[in-house]
Amino acid sequence: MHLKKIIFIRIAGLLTMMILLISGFFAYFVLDRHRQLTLQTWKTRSEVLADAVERLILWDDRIALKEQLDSEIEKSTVLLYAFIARKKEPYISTFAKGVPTALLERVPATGLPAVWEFQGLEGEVVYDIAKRVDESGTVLHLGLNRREIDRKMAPLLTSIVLVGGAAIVLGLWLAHVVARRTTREVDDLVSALSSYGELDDLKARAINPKSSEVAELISTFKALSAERLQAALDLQHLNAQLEERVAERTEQLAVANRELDAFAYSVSHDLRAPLRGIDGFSLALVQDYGDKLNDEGKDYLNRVRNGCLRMGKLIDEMLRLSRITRCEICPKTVSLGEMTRQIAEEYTQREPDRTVEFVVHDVPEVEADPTLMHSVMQNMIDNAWKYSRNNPAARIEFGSMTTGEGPAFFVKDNGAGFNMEYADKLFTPFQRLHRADEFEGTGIGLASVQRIILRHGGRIWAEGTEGEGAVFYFTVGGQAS
Amino acid sequence: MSEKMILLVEDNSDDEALTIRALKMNNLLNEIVVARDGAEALDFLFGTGAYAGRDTTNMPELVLLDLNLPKLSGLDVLKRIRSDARTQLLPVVVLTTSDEDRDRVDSYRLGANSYIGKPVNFEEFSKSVRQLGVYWLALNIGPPHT
Repeated sequence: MHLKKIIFIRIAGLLTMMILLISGFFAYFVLDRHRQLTLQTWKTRSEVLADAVERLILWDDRIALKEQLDSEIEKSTVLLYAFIARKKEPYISTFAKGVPTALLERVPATGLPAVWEFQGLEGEVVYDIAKRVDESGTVLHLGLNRREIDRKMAPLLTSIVLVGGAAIVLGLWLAHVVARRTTREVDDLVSALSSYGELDDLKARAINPKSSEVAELISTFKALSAERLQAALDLQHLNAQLEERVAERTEQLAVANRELDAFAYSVSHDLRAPLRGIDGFSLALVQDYGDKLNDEGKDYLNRVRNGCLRMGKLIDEMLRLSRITRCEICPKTVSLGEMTRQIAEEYTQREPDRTVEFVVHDVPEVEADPTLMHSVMQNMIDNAWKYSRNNPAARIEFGSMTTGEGPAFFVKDNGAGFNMEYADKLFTPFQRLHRADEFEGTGIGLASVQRIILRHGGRIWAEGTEGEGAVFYFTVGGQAS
Repeated sequence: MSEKMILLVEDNSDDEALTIRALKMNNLLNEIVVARDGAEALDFLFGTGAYAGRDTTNMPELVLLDLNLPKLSGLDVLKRIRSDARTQLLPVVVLTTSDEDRDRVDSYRLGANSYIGKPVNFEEFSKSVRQLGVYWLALNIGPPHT
C-alpha cells in the first residue's frame, strides 16, 4: 500500500473517530439537558394544575375534574395521560379503561413531589397534592411522551449531525492534504528513480526534501547511481576493448587461415609436381634404358619410385587433414550404426579371405556432417581391421553407452592394441605406434578423426593393451533428439 | 598434318615431357602444340603475338589446360576461351595437380568439359592420359569446325 494511503487512513480514522465521539457526546448532553428542563417545566405545570384541581377534589366534583384533565391533554402534545389517585386507588383519570395497575404501584404513598426519570418511551411527573387536600396519599400523576419531548430537539440534533458530517468531510480532506504533503518528497524520490534505481542530479535537485531522512536517501541514491554509472562505463569500455581484441584476433585468424589455405594450395601443386617428375622419369629410365641397367640399378630406381609414391600419399593425407580443419560442417541426422554396417560389408567383400566377426549394436542417431562422420567411421574400422589381421578370431564391435555428455560411441577390436603409455600420441599427426613394416600407414587417420570429432564439439579417447586390443571412444557434440 | 591437333598448356617442362610421353606411349600420335603460359595459349588460339598470322580456322581438337600458370592463370585462359565466339565450343580438359574443391568448382563454372587430376604415380598418370585421349580424340564427336 502507498505510504500516502496509509497516512491518510490513519489520520482520517483518528479524526472521524474524534468527531463522532464529540458530536455523540454533545448530542447526548443536549438531549439530556432538554429532557431535564422539560421535566422541570412539567413539575411547575403540575403545581399550577394542582392549584386548579385542589378545590374540585375537595368538592368531589369528578365531572369538572375529568374535564380539567382532558383539557390539559388536549392543550399539550407532550402530555399522554393524567390521573389522580387517593391511597393508591384511582380517583379520576384520562384513561378510558381505568388506570393500569403498574402505574398505580409506582405511586408513592406519601412523600415530596417527585420527578421520575424517563423509563422507556414514557416519562412521568407525580405531584403530591396530599397537603392541599388534607388527605395523605393523594397524588396528581402526569404521563409524558418522551418522543414528543425529543422531537423538539430534532432540528438541533439534525444540525449536530450535519456539522459533524461536514467536520468529517473536512477531516478527510485535511488527512488527504497532510498525507500528500508528507509523502510528496518520498513520491518524488520514487518517481525520480528510474526502473534501475538510478537517480540523476537534475531529478534529485527537483525534489527539494524537507525531511532529513529523504535528504539522506537522495544523497545515498545519488552516490549509488554515480558508482553504478561508473561501473557501467567501465564495463562498456571493457566490452569495447574486448570486441576490439576479438576483431583483431579474428582478423589475425583470418590471415592465418588464408595463409594456411595458400600453403595447402601450394603444397597440392608445387610439392606433387616434382614428385611426379621423379617418378615419371625413373620409370622412363627403367622402360627406355632397362637393358643398360643391372638389377641393382633397377632396384634403386624402384626405391626412388616407392619413395615418391609414399611421399605423394603423405602429401595427400596432409592435405586431407588440413581440408578437414577448413571445410564447412553441414549437420544432418546420421545413423552411425547403419554407416558402420555398410563399411564393414565393404571390408568383408574386399578381403573375403579374412574372417572377422563384426558386431554392430543399435546406437542413437546423431546430428553431424555425414561425409565427415563417414570418414571417422571409415578410419576407425580401417584401423580395427588392419591391426586385428594377425588374430585368426578377429572381432570388431561397434556400440554406444550412456555418459553424462550424451551417448559415447566405441569401436573395439582384439587386435595388436597399444601401450597406454603412448595413448596421448595416438592422435598426433604423423605419429605412429607401429613400424611401417609391421602395419602400414601414414599416421594421419586418427589425427583426422580427432579433428572431425573436435569440430563437432565432441571428444575422443582410447584404451588399449598391447597384444590384446584397443577401444576407441568418442562423443559427437550435437545429438539428435 | 593430322586434323586432330592438341594444345597442351603447361608451364612445367617435366610435366610437359611426361604428358607427351604418356600420349606417345598410348599411341596418341596427334600433333601437340605446347604453350608454356596462359598468354601464349591465347596467342596461339587467336593468332596474336608470337602466333600472329596463324590460320586461326585451324583450331585444336582438344585443349589440355593446367591451372597453375605464370602470367595468366588456367582459369583466366578458360574464361577467355569461353567468352570468344571462335573458341566458345572448344573442348577444354583441365589437367592439373590440384584436387582442391575450389578449383574444380571454378573450372566447371567457367565451362571446362572435364577435370582430370595428375597423380604422382606415372603409371596412373599414363592411364589417365590414355583414357582421356581415347575419349576426347576418338570417341567424342566434337563441335563442327567453322
